[in-house]
Amino acid sequence: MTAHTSSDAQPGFRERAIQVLASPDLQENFHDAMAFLRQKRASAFADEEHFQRLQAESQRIKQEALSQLPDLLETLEARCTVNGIQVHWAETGAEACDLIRQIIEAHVPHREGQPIRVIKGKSMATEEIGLNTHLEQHGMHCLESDMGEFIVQLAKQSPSHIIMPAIHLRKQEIARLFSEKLPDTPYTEDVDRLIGIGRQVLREQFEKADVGISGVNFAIADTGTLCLLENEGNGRLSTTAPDLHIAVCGIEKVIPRLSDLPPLLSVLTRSATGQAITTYVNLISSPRRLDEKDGPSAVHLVLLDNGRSRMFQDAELQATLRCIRCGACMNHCPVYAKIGGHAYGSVYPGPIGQVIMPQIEGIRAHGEMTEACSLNGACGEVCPVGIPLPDLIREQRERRAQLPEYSRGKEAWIWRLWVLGYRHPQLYRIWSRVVTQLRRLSPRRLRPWSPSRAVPRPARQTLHERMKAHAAQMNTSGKHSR
Amino acid sequence: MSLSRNAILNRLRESKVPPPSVAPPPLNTGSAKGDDAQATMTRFTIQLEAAHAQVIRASAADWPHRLLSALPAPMPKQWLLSDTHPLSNTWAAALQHAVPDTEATLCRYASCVEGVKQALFQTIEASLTSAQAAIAETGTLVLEPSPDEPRLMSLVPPLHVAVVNASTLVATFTDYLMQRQWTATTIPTNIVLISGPSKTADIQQTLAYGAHGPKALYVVILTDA
Ligand code: SF4
Repeated sequence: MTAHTSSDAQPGFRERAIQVLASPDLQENFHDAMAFLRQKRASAFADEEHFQRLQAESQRIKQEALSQLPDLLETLEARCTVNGIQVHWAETGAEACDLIRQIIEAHVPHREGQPIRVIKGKSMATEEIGLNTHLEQHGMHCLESDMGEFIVQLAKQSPSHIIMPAIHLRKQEIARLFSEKLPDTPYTEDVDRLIGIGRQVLREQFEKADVGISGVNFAIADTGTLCLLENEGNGRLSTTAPDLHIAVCGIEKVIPRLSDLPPLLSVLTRSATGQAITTYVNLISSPRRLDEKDGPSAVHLVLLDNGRSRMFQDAELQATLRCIRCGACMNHCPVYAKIGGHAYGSVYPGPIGQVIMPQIEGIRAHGEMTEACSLNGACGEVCPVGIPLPDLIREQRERRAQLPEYSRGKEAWIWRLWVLGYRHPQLYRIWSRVVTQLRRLSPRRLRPWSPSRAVPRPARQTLHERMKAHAAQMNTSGKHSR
Repeated sequence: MSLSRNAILNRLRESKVPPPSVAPPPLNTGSAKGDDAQATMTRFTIQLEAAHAQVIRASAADWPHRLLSALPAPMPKQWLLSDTHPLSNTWAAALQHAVPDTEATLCRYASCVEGVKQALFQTIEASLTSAQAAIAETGTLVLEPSPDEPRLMSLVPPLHVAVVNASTLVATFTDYLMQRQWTATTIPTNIVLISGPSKTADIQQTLAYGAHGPKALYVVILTDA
């Protein structure tokens, strides 16, 4: 349901973006939400120096973690194991899905005619591997418990933002959705009541769920601890109420020490929603011990590669593995604010998506979105771990331009001519003179540019001619004044 | 399974990653070192109240009385309490004294969760636990759940009262970690930092409380005087 594989069969990036641009409502939703999040972040970093210090420290910690990545993963595995958390490794999304299903089937007793009930905390890693679809294909019942994810799942859509999944919907749409899809639910636009309805539905499910699945924000190697941030309490419930907890964690989430956590926490929550801290910070280090009365009796950690070790080998793209998934880059991206998350057709939208999706699912499937960037640099400035996003997006464009299907296209030929002209001054002069002299013949319509913009017309004179004339004038006027 | 493990680790070992070029800057942990205890306490209270929690300052002798008068009307009657923690005994006595007859129905978390789960999710209205530390910078309570006070106590009931000693207040999260010096073998199975009642802004950026966890959080700060 939420898996995005290749975009071949569906409309491409361009068509999806055009669809959104035709809907003023959608654009308004995104515009408002982005303005809200940007303002929140700005007030959390009122002091620019504070931000820079935190950014430097966070970047340092994540870079240190990358420089010791294999060792840290082994330490994490060893410490978790000692504390009773079972660690698994998955190279691909498909492998992770299989693994998780097997863990569940081995743990939950079979009940005839009753599907296994899985409840999920918010997790981008599980979106990335299409876990819900996989488990449902095997007869399990998966329920998203984060309010935004719950709404999106009910609407049979996918998240449009990595922090606020239902950002594209207005409360009227959610009110209609609830009253249509949930039994005995009256239509109400009152947000408190809508949340109350969601709370009630999900509470019943939390009580009955067999399995809780969550993501991980930071995996701490030295203590073997999984850190999970959230405001709602659904993360705590998913990881505490069911008897089995499975955490899915990208291999880049590991950090060396518990003492590295405070600055990262602070920079993540401030960048994401402008909070100094989230309502809940969960530090999970072990399943239920013998003398304890609650908590899952088994905790499994699935370490997910899915393209990350390849990015790691790529000197240019390594830095993307510092990403802490705060969403600030998309909140500050003028293109994202116009077209929203769905247009990208990928799990991770916006600037970070433009860099990592071509890595995870291939440049052919996701290369087109790299064009949706004005290289204005805002994303790179706000990134709390200093990922040079604009440079990396340009790098992706360059790689795409080297694909044979691209280099045979019309655009590639236009650029080749452009390069030729700008490399050879003679050619450039001849060309610009011809264009200025034949300016009356220039086309009045130039698709796809012209429907919404004025068509540029060549000037009367070339720049060289004007400069020459100007210099001559300066000379004569200079003589006069002397 | 271990095939994947080796493949991943091998790929990671094949490539070199530059270590961070910058030396660690002396990070101001946010603790105002010059602050006196009073200022730190004020900061803690302001932050918690800003997050929509109710803060009650009381002494060890009069906290049940103060809490009783601060709780919303109608007074929650179905309470989940620890069956061993001294604070819950004090509170149980106060409740039974204040609420006429046996109207207050107390549930003790005496057995494993499987025995109380249904009541916990369906009828319990409130719970009271201790908190092991408080962090001023962000207005945060630190709970280290234990067999005495299990994990779900502070999470499932719609109203949660946390009682914390003023003497456990530290300036920052870093200070708390330095104080505890957790290692892999000493770290509790579960630690949770709580900075207000449960909330969400997932519907049109409108803040609503009580998404999944407690709708209301009452914090009793025990002071010496
Ligand atoms: S790339 Fe940077 S700004 Fe974007 S989500 Fe990752 S950490 Fe946040």
